[in-house]
Amino acid sequence: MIKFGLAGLIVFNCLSAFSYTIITKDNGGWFGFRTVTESHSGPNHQLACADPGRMKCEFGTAFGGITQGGEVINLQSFEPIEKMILDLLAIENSILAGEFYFESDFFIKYSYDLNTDRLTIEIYTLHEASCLGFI
Amino acid sequence: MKKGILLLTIVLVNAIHLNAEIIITKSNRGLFGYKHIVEQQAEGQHRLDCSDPGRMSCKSSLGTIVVLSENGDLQPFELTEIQFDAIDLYVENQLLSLNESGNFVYDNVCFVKFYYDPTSDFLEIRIYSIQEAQLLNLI
Repeated sequence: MIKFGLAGLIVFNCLSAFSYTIITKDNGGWFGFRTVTESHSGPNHQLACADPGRMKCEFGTAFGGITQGGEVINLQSFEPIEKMILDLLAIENSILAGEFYFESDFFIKYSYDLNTDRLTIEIYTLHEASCLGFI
Repeated sequence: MKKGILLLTIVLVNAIHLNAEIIITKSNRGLFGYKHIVEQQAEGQHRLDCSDPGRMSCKSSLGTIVVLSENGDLQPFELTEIQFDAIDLYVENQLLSLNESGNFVYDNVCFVKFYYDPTSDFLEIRIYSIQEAQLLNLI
């Protein structure tokens, strides 16, 4: 009974702590994007940028970032993460999806669809990644 | 008066025929380049049309591009790969600075005009020999 309670507590802990940050960049142009959609739901954050236009693909100023253990990723500027991904994808014949740790505090998953020019970046804290079975 | 009109007509017809230009279009670019590249050579014009997301660079497969004028009156217009790359890089930097259009003389070799439509992600670059640009009163 106690075991079930403990397991339930762990599951609840994972569920209650579950959160994600997903950024998609879909068919952008040289100047940026036509539509930028930002949504925040508790600890979950999404940014979807699509089609050629003039807007920057970034979170608004009201959104500070995600934190873990005092570490903060300022998601208004997720350029360092994106740059790492673009460097990985730029390698000729590279696999168009992958994952890596970022600054020891975050776990990043990414994928790129060459046909639709859609880049998806998922940012998880290590706790979230663990709960989701990624690590 | 009639002579004037005739002369003007001859000048205009010659201006139309004295082509020696390179036209490059880039549309719907992906993060890593293009899927389709179509290169066409003709007397007076060399075209490079690049489109849709892929992994190819929008470059000529020939290295140096040589354009012969339509009636042979102009000097052949030659553009090396290094010159092409330099022009391409300059235009890309202009785009990254959010300049939609512009023109410039590159290294006293050619005259370049470019135009970008941000909503359709369409870029056109026209490269003229100095001789043709002068004939067309572009410079």
